[in-house]
Amino acid sequence: MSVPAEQPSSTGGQGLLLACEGVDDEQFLIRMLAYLRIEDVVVRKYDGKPRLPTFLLGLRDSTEFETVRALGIFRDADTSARSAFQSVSDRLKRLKLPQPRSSGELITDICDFDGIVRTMGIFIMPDGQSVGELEDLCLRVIAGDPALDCVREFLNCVHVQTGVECRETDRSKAQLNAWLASRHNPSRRLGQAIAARDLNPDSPAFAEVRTFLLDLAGAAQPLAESSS
Amino acid sequence: MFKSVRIQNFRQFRDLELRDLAQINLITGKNSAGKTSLLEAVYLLDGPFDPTRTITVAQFRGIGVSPGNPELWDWLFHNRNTSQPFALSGEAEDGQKSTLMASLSQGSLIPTTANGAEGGPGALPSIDYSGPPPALVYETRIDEEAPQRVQLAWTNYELRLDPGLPERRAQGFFLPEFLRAGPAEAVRLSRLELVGQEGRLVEALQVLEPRLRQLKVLDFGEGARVYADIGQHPLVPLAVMGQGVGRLLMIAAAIILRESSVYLVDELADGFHYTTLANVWRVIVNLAVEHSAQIFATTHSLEAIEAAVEGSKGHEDKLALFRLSTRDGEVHVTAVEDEGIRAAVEFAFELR
Repeated sequence: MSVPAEQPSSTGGQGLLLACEGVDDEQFLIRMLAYLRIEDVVVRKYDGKPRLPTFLLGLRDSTEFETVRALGIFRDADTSARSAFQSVSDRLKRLKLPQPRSSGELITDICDFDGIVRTMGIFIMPDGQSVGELEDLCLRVIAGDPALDCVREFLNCVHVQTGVECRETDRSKAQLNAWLASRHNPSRRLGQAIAARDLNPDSPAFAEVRTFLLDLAGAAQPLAESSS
Repeated sequence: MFKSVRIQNFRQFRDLELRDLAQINLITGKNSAGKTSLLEAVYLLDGPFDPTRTITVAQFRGIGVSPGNPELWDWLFHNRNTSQPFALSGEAEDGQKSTLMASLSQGSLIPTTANGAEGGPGALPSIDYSGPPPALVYETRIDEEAPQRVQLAWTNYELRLDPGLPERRAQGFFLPEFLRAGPAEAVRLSRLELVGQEGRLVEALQVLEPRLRQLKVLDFGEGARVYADIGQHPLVPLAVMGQGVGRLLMIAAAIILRESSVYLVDELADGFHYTTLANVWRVIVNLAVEHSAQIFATTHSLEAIEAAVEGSKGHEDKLALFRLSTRDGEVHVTAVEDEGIRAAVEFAFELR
C-alpha cells in the first residue's frame, strides 16, 4: 500500500513502543515515523536478537509498560522468517502477553500479566517471509538503480583483488552501505538516507512497514485520547 | 516469613494481594501509591494479637494519640469507612494462615464546637463527642483455631488492652523514614554484648565507617548512649555519626537479635550515599539470610533498586519487587521477580 507523502499528524500518545535490534533499525524507524508524522513514539533497541528475551522481560516488568498500549517488535528473519517469528511469539507467550498470528498482523487482547488491554505486533524483516534483514528491504527500494550494479561489481572486484569478502549474511549490508557511500553526501547512514530521500520512504517496498506502523499508532491512540 | 499477604479495606487498599513474597521485598510506587500503608498493614498482621501496634503506626504518622482525635483509627479504614472492618490475612512459608479483622466497636469521634461557639483564628475548639469513645477490636484467627478477640479501648483517657498481651510476644520491627538512632540502640547494643555478638554489628557498620573499631555503651547520668571508637578520643557519639550509620545499626542490630521475623523499613535509601547502597544492601541481605529474616523495604530511588540487585548477588532468588500503582481509582500491585528486576536494570527501564 502506498502512503501519500502528506500524512495527517497522528500520535502514539507515548502509548506506542517499538522495539528493534540495533542502531540502524532504530534510526530507520525514527525517520519512517517522522515521514508518517506519527509522534510521541518510544523506539528502543535491544542490541541484538540474543538480548531480546531479557529486553522483553525487563520492559514487561517496568513502570513504563503500564502506559504502553501498543507494542511493535521488529526482528530480522536472518536465515528463517518463520523461526524468527516463532521465537518472538514464544517469548511473548512466556511473558503472558498476546501473540499475533503472523508477521505484520496485530492482535489486541488483555494481557494476563496485568489485566491491561494492549495491541501487539511482530514484524520480521524484510517482509515476514523472506530470509534477510532490514538492509534487504532497503535494497528493494533501489533495485532498479544502475549504481547498484556498480556496487556489486565493486565488491566483487575487492574480493578478487584482495581476497577480502564479507560473510554471506552481511552481503546486503555491504551492498547498501557501499551504495549509500556513492551518494552526493557519502556520510549518511540508513536512517539519514531515509530523511534525505536517498531512500524513498514512500517506496512500495516499504508499504508493509508503513501499514504496520500506522496500524500500531492507531491502536495506541485511545490512550492519548483518554489521558488528555 | 510471609509467603502471601492480602489487605482488604485498609487505608488506600480496597483489596490488594501480594503473592510469591520473597525474603527481600522491595516496594516501589509513586507518591501516595500506598507504600508506607503496605508496610503498616504487614506490621499489624505480624502482630495479630497486638492492637497497640496501631498506636505505634499512628505515632509514626504524627497522629495524636488521644480520645479526642478522630483520626487515631479512622484513617486505617478504606475511605475512612469504619462501618466495615479492615481485614489482613497472610500465609506463612510453613502454611500457617493468620487472619486479622479489625473494627471500631462504638460510635465515632467527631469533634464539634461546644455550643456552636466560634473561636477566633488559632482558638482551640471545645470538643464534644457524638458518642462514647470507640474501641478498636481485633478478631484474630490462626489456621482453623477459634478466633480470639482483643480490644483496645479508651478508659478515663487511657488506652486499655483487654485481655492483656501475651507475655512472650514478637516485638516487631518498623523503621519509619524519619526515625534516628536513639537510646533504644544502647539497649540493643547491651543485649548484643551480653551474648558476645557486638562484633557482628561493628562488622556490619564498617561498610559505612571503615575506621570503626568498637561500639560502646556509656552513661554520663543522662541515660545510656552508644559511642563509636573510630581510633581517636574522645569517642564519637552515635548521634553525630550520620543518619545512615544509625539506620543501619538499628536494622542490623534488630536482625542479629532476632527481634522479629519480619522487618519493615520505610525509604531504605534515606541517609545513605548512593555509592554505599550496594554494600548496605549486601550487609542486610546476608544478615537476613543468616537469621531467616524477611525484609519489606520501600524506596523511591532507582539507585536503591540497582543497589539491591547488586547487593543481593549470590542470593538472586531471594529478591522480589512489588510496584504499587493507581488505576481506575484502585491501587494495583505488579510483582516483579528477581530476573525481571535484573532485566529492567540492564536495559535502564523504570522500576520505581
